[in-house]
Amino acid sequence: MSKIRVLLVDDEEDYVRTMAERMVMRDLQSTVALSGEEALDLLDTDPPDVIVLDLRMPGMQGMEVLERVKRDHPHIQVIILTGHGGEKEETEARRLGAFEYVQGGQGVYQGTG
Amino acid sequence: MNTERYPEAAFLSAMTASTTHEARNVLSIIKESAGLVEDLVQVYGARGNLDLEKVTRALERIDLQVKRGADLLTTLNRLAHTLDQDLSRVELNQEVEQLVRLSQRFARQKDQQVAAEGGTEEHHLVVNGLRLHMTLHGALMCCLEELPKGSRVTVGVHEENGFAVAEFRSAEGETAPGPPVDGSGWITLEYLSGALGARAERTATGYGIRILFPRDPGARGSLGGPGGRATT
Repeated sequence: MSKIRVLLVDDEEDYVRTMAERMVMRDLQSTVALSGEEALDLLDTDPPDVIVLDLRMPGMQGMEVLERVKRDHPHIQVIILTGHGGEKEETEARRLGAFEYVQGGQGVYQGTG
Repeated sequence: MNTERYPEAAFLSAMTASTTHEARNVLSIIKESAGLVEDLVQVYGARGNLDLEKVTRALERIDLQVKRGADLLTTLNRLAHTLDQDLSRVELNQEVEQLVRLSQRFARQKDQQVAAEGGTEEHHLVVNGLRLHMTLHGALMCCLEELPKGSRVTVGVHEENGFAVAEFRSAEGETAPGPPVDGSGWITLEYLSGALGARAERTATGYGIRILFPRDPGARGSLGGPGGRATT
Protein backbone atom coordinates (compact mmCIF):
# COMPACT_ATOMS: atom_id res chain seq x y z
CA MET A 1 0.00 0.00 0.00
CA SER A 2 1.41 3.38 -0.98
CA LYS A 3 2.08 5.98 1.66
CA ILE A 4 -0.41 8.76 2.31
CA ARG A 5 0.95 11.96 0.81
CA VAL A 6 0.63 15.09 2.91
CA LEU A 7 1.32 18.62 1.73
CA LEU A 8 2.15 21.02 4.58
CA VAL A 9 1.55 24.70 3.82
CA ASP A 10 2.85 27.38 6.17
CA ASP A 11 5.17 30.38 5.80
CA GLU A 12 7.04 29.62 9.06
CA GLU A 13 9.74 27.47 7.51
CA ASP A 14 11.24 26.04 10.71
CA TYR A 15 7.80 25.07 11.88
CA VAL A 16 6.63 23.39 8.72
CA ARG A 17 9.89 21.53 8.04
CA THR A 18 9.96 20.17 11.58
CA MET A 19 6.38 19.04 11.19
CA ALA A 20 7.34 17.37 7.92
CA GLU A 21 10.08 15.41 9.70
CA ARG A 22 7.58 14.22 12.28
CA MET A 23 5.16 13.18 9.53
CA VAL A 24 7.89 11.10 7.90
CA MET A 25 8.51 9.35 11.23
CA ARG A 26 4.82 8.38 11.12
CA ASP A 27 5.32 6.75 7.76
CA LEU A 28 3.64 9.53 5.82
CA GLN A 29 5.12 11.10 2.73
CA SER A 30 5.33 14.84 3.36
CA THR A 31 6.02 17.81 1.12
CA VAL A 32 6.37 21.44 2.18
CA ALA A 33 5.07 24.63 0.56
CA LEU A 34 5.90 28.00 2.08
CA SER A 35 3.04 29.91 0.47
CA GLY A 36 -0.41 29.37 -0.92
CA GLU A 37 0.82 30.03 -4.43
CA GLU A 38 3.55 27.40 -4.10
CA ALA A 39 1.01 24.91 -2.77
CA LEU A 40 -1.34 25.42 -5.70
CA ASP A 41 1.55 24.98 -8.14
CA LEU A 42 2.37 21.63 -6.55
CA LEU A 43 -1.17 20.35 -6.95
CA ASP A 44 -0.82 19.95 -10.69
CA THR A 45 2.55 18.20 -10.61
CA ASP A 46 2.44 16.24 -7.36
CA PRO A 47 -1.08 16.15 -5.93
CA PRO A 48 -1.23 15.08 -2.27
CA ASP A 49 -3.96 13.11 -0.52
CA VAL A 50 -4.16 15.59 2.33
CA ILE A 51 -3.21 19.23 2.77
CA VAL A 52 -2.45 20.73 6.18
CA LEU A 53 -2.98 24.41 5.63
CA ASP A 54 -2.25 27.56 7.63
CA LEU A 55 -4.80 30.36 7.31
CA ARG A 56 -2.64 33.45 7.57
CA MET A 57 0.27 33.71 5.20
CA PRO A 58 1.87 36.39 3.07
CA GLY A 59 0.33 36.59 -0.38
CA MET A 60 -2.58 34.25 -0.91
CA GLN A 61 -4.42 33.54 2.31
CA GLY A 62 -5.29 30.04 3.44
CA MET A 63 -9.03 30.51 2.93
CA GLU A 64 -8.49 31.30 -0.74
CA VAL A 65 -6.18 28.31 -1.12
CA LEU A 66 -8.84 26.11 0.47
CA GLU A 67 -11.51 27.42 -1.87
CA ARG A 68 -9.38 26.78 -4.95
CA VAL A 69 -8.31 23.33 -3.81
CA LYS A 70 -11.87 22.20 -3.17
CA ARG A 71 -12.99 23.68 -6.48
CA ASP A 72 -10.26 22.12 -8.63
CA HIS A 73 -9.32 19.03 -6.60
CA PRO A 74 -12.37 18.10 -4.54
CA HIS A 75 -10.92 14.69 -3.65
CA ILE A 76 -8.03 16.26 -1.68
CA GLN A 77 -8.82 16.58 2.02
CA VAL A 78 -7.80 19.83 3.66
CA ILE A 79 -7.05 20.23 7.35
CA ILE A 80 -6.80 23.80 8.58
CA LEU A 81 -4.12 24.16 11.23
CA THR A 82 -4.02 27.64 12.66
CA GLY A 83 -2.97 29.34 15.84
CA HIS A 84 -4.84 32.50 15.06
CA GLY A 85 -8.29 31.66 13.76
CA GLY A 86 -11.59 32.08 15.55
CA GLU A 87 -15.09 30.70 15.38
CA LYS A 88 -15.91 32.75 12.30
CA GLU A 89 -12.92 31.35 10.42
CA GLU A 90 -13.81 27.82 11.44
CA THR A 91 -17.37 28.21 10.18
CA GLU A 92 -16.13 29.61 6.88
CA ALA A 93 -13.48 26.90 6.48
CA ARG A 94 -16.03 24.15 7.07
CA ARG A 95 -18.44 25.80 4.64
CA LEU A 96 -15.70 25.75 2.02
CA GLY A 97 -15.16 22.05 2.59
CA ALA A 98 -12.33 21.76 5.13
CA PHE A 99 -12.14 18.22 6.49
CA GLU A 100 -11.00 19.41 9.90
CA TYR A 101 -10.16 22.66 11.67
CA VAL A 102 -7.41 22.40 14.28
CA GLN A 103 -6.27 25.19 16.58
CA GLY A 104 -2.48 25.43 16.82
CA GLY A 105 -2.31 24.44 20.47
CA GLN A 106 -3.78 21.05 19.61
CA GLY A 107 -1.86 18.33 17.85
CA VAL A 108 -2.40 17.41 14.24
CA TYR A 109 -0.88 13.97 14.74
CA GLN A 110 -3.82 12.14 16.28
CA GLY A 111 -4.50 9.10 14.21
CA THR A 112 -1.19 9.29 12.38
CA GLY A 113 0.50 6.68 14.50
CA MET B 1 -11.80 51.12 15.62
CA ASN B 2 -11.82 54.74 14.56
CA THR B 3 -8.13 55.10 13.72
CA GLU B 4 -8.41 58.83 13.12
CA ARG B 5 -9.94 59.45 16.52
CA TYR B 6 -7.75 57.00 18.43
CA PRO B 7 -4.51 56.79 16.44
CA GLU B 8 -2.35 55.79 19.41
CA ALA B 9 -4.69 52.96 20.37
CA ALA B 10 -4.91 51.84 16.74
CA PHE B 11 -1.13 51.81 16.42
CA LEU B 12 -0.53 49.91 19.66
CA SER B 13 -3.27 47.48 18.72
CA ALA B 14 -1.68 46.77 15.32
CA MET B 15 1.78 46.30 16.84
CA THR B 16 0.48 44.06 19.62
CA ALA B 17 -1.55 41.91 17.23
CA SER B 18 1.41 41.46 14.91
CA THR B 19 3.91 40.74 17.68
CA THR B 20 1.72 38.29 19.54
CA HIS B 21 1.11 36.50 16.24
CA GLU B 22 4.88 36.18 15.86
CA ALA B 23 5.17 35.02 19.46
CA ARG B 24 2.62 32.30 18.82
CA ASN B 25 4.61 31.17 15.81
CA VAL B 26 7.69 31.00 18.01
CA LEU B 27 5.84 28.80 20.49
CA SER B 28 4.59 26.58 17.67
CA ILE B 29 8.13 26.01 16.43
CA ILE B 30 9.32 25.24 19.96
CA LYS B 31 6.43 22.83 20.41
CA GLU B 32 7.14 21.01 17.13
CA SER B 33 10.87 20.87 17.81
CA ALA B 34 10.35 19.49 21.31
CA GLY B 35 7.87 17.02 19.81
CA LEU B 36 10.46 15.92 17.28
CA VAL B 37 13.00 15.27 20.03
CA GLU B 38 10.37 13.26 21.88
CA ASP B 39 9.59 11.25 18.72
CA LEU B 40 13.28 10.58 18.08
CA VAL B 41 13.90 9.44 21.63
CA GLN B 42 10.80 7.24 21.63
CA VAL B 43 11.49 5.60 18.28
CA TYR B 44 15.27 5.33 18.25
CA GLY B 45 16.29 5.77 21.88
CA ALA B 46 15.21 2.30 22.94
CA ARG B 47 17.03 0.76 19.98
CA GLY B 48 20.22 2.61 20.89
CA ASN B 49 20.57 4.30 17.50
CA LEU B 50 19.36 7.80 18.37
CA ASP B 51 20.27 10.32 15.66
CA LEU B 52 22.15 12.82 17.81
CA GLU B 53 22.62 15.22 14.93
CA LYS B 54 18.85 15.54 14.48
CA VAL B 55 18.35 15.95 18.21
CA THR B 56 21.03 18.63 18.37
CA ARG B 57 19.51 20.51 15.42
CA ALA B 58 16.09 20.47 17.08
CA LEU B 59 17.54 21.71 20.37
CA GLU B 60 19.43 24.49 18.57
CA ARG B 61 16.19 25.50 16.89
CA ILE B 62 14.48 25.67 20.27
CA ASP B 63 17.32 27.81 21.58
CA LEU B 64 17.07 30.22 18.63
CA GLN B 65 13.32 30.49 18.94
CA VAL B 66 13.49 31.20 22.65
CA LYS B 67 15.85 34.07 21.83
CA ARG B 68 13.54 35.28 19.03
CA GLY B 69 10.55 35.17 21.38
CA ALA B 70 12.40 36.97 24.15
CA ASP B 71 13.54 39.69 21.72
CA LEU B 72 10.00 40.18 20.46
CA LEU B 73 8.48 40.42 23.91
CA THR B 74 11.22 42.71 25.22
CA THR B 75 10.71 45.03 22.28
CA LEU B 76 6.94 45.03 22.65
CA ASN B 77 7.36 45.70 26.36
CA ARG B 78 9.62 48.67 25.61
CA LEU B 79 7.04 50.02 23.19
CA ALA B 80 4.31 49.71 25.82
CA HIS B 81 6.49 51.67 28.26
CA THR B 82 6.77 54.60 25.88
CA LEU B 83 3.46 55.65 27.40
CA ASP B 84 5.09 56.14 30.80
CA GLN B 85 6.48 59.59 30.00
CA ASP B 86 5.37 62.40 27.72
CA LEU B 87 8.96 63.05 26.67
CA SER B 88 12.02 60.90 27.02
CA ARG B 89 15.59 60.92 25.73
CA VAL B 90 16.13 58.18 23.17
CA GLU B 91 18.83 57.09 20.76
CA LEU B 92 17.50 56.97 17.21
CA ASN B 93 19.49 53.93 16.02
CA GLN B 94 18.10 51.87 18.90
CA GLU B 95 14.57 53.01 18.13
CA VAL B 96 15.03 52.10 14.47
CA GLU B 97 16.27 48.64 15.41
CA GLN B 98 13.24 48.25 17.64
CA LEU B 99 10.97 49.31 14.78
CA VAL B 100 12.60 46.79 12.46
CA ARG B 101 12.18 43.94 14.96
CA LEU B 102 8.49 44.72 15.40
CA SER B 103 7.89 45.21 11.68
CA GLN B 104 9.23 41.95 10.26
CA ARG B 105 5.78 40.46 9.98
CA PHE B 106 4.33 43.56 8.27
CA ALA B 107 7.08 43.28 5.65
CA ARG B 108 6.74 39.53 5.26
CA GLN B 109 3.00 39.84 4.74
CA LYS B 110 3.81 41.91 1.67
CA ASP B 111 6.58 39.58 0.57
CA GLN B 112 9.18 42.24 1.36
CA GLN B 113 12.06 42.65 3.76
CA VAL B 114 13.09 45.36 6.15
CA ALA B 115 16.48 45.78 7.82
CA ALA B 116 18.26 48.35 9.97
CA GLU B 117 21.63 49.55 8.75
CA GLY B 118 22.91 49.67 12.31
CA GLY B 119 24.85 52.92 12.57
CA THR B 120 27.61 53.29 15.13
CA GLU B 121 27.22 57.00 15.82
CA GLU B 122 24.64 57.89 18.45
CA HIS B 123 21.85 60.35 17.67
CA HIS B 124 19.91 61.41 20.75
CA LEU B 125 16.47 62.98 20.64
CA VAL B 126 14.09 64.19 23.28
CA VAL B 127 10.73 63.02 22.05
CA ASN B 128 7.44 61.44 22.83
CA GLY B 129 8.51 57.81 22.36
CA LEU B 130 5.15 56.56 21.18
CA ARG B 131 4.80 59.32 18.58
CA LEU B 132 8.31 58.61 17.40
CA HIS B 133 7.44 54.97 16.79
CA MET B 134 4.18 55.85 15.12
CA THR B 135 6.08 58.15 12.80
CA LEU B 136 8.79 55.64 11.94
CA HIS B 137 6.23 52.90 11.44
CA GLY B 138 4.12 55.19 9.25
CA ALA B 139 7.12 55.83 7.01
CA LEU B 140 7.95 52.16 6.76
CA MET B 141 4.37 51.20 5.93
CA CYS B 142 4.33 53.87 3.26
CA CYS B 143 7.38 52.22 1.66
CA LEU B 144 5.92 48.73 1.97
CA GLU B 145 2.63 49.86 0.43
CA GLU B 146 4.23 51.44 -2.60
CA LEU B 147 7.21 49.23 -3.38
CA PRO B 148 6.80 46.06 -5.40
CA LYS B 149 6.93 42.53 -3.98
CA GLY B 150 10.42 41.31 -3.25
CA SER B 151 11.68 44.75 -2.27
CA ARG B 152 14.07 45.26 0.60
CA VAL B 153 13.76 48.42 2.66
CA THR B 154 16.74 49.50 4.72
CA VAL B 155 16.52 52.07 7.47
CA GLY B 156 19.62 54.09 8.26
CA VAL B 157 20.31 56.98 10.61
CA HIS B 158 22.77 59.80 10.02
CA GLU B 159 23.37 63.41 10.97
CA GLU B 160 22.76 66.21 8.52
CA ASN B 161 22.86 69.94 9.21
CA GLY B 162 22.03 69.53 12.86
CA PHE B 163 19.21 67.07 12.21
CA ALA B 164 19.13 63.37 12.95
CA VAL B 165 17.83 61.81 9.76
CA ALA B 166 16.09 58.44 9.60
CA GLU B 167 16.21 57.37 5.99
CA PHE B 168 14.03 54.61 4.55
CA ARG B 169 15.44 53.41 1.24
CA SER B 170 14.70 50.68 -1.22
CA ALA B 171 17.50 48.87 -2.96
CA GLU B 172 18.80 50.36 -6.15
CA GLY B 173 16.65 49.73 -9.15
CA GLU B 174 13.41 49.42 -7.20
CA THR B 175 11.13 52.27 -8.03
CA ALA B 176 7.62 53.31 -7.22
CA PRO B 177 5.64 56.52 -7.35
CA GLY B 178 6.84 58.71 -4.49
CA PRO B 179 4.64 59.33 -1.49
CA PRO B 180 2.27 62.29 -1.79
CA VAL B 181 3.70 65.68 -0.88
CA ASP B 182 2.02 68.87 0.26
CA GLY B 183 2.37 72.33 -1.28
CA SER B 184 5.76 72.84 0.38
CA GLY B 185 7.17 69.58 -0.91
CA TRP B 186 6.96 67.71 2.40
CA ILE B 187 5.56 64.22 2.49
CA THR B 188 2.15 63.75 4.03
CA LEU B 189 2.77 60.76 6.28
CA GLU B 190 0.32 59.04 8.54
CA TYR B 191 1.05 60.12 12.14
CA LEU B 192 3.42 62.86 10.99
CA SER B 193 0.91 65.63 10.61
CA GLY B 194 -0.52 68.05 13.11
CA ALA B 195 1.38 68.32 16.34
CA LEU B 196 4.60 66.61 15.28
CA GLY B 197 7.72 68.68 14.92
CA ALA B 198 9.68 66.49 12.52
CA ARG B 199 9.25 66.55 8.77
CA ALA B 200 9.54 64.03 5.98
CA GLU B 201 10.67 64.34 2.42
CA ARG B 202 11.45 62.15 -0.56
CA THR B 203 14.98 61.00 -1.12
CA ALA B 204 16.75 62.76 -3.98
CA THR B 205 17.05 59.57 -6.03
CA GLY B 206 15.20 56.27 -6.12
CA TYR B 207 12.33 55.54 -3.79
CA GLY B 208 12.76 56.59 -0.21
CA ILE B 209 11.57 58.67 2.70
CA ARG B 210 13.74 60.83 4.93
CA ILE B 211 12.48 61.98 8.31
CA LEU B 212 14.39 64.84 9.85
CA PHE B 213 14.40 65.19 13.63
CA PRO B 214 15.92 68.14 15.52
CA ARG B 215 18.99 66.59 17.10
CA ASP B 216 19.57 68.91 20.01
CA PRO B 217 18.75 66.91 23.14
CA GLY B 218 17.55 70.10 24.76
CA ALA B 219 14.93 70.62 22.09
CA ARG B 220 12.05 69.57 24.29
CA GLY B 221 8.80 69.26 22.47
CA SER B 222 10.57 68.70 19.18
CA LEU B 223 8.39 65.66 18.53
CA GLY B 224 5.00 65.30 20.04
CA GLY B 225 4.90 68.74 21.60
CA PRO B 226 2.38 71.43 20.83
CA GLY B 227 2.48 73.46 17.69
CA GLY B 228 2.10 72.92 14.01
CA ARG B 229 4.28 71.19 11.50
CA ALA B 230 7.87 72.33 11.56
CA THR B 231 9.30 74.36 8.78
CA THR B 232 12.85 74.58 7.54
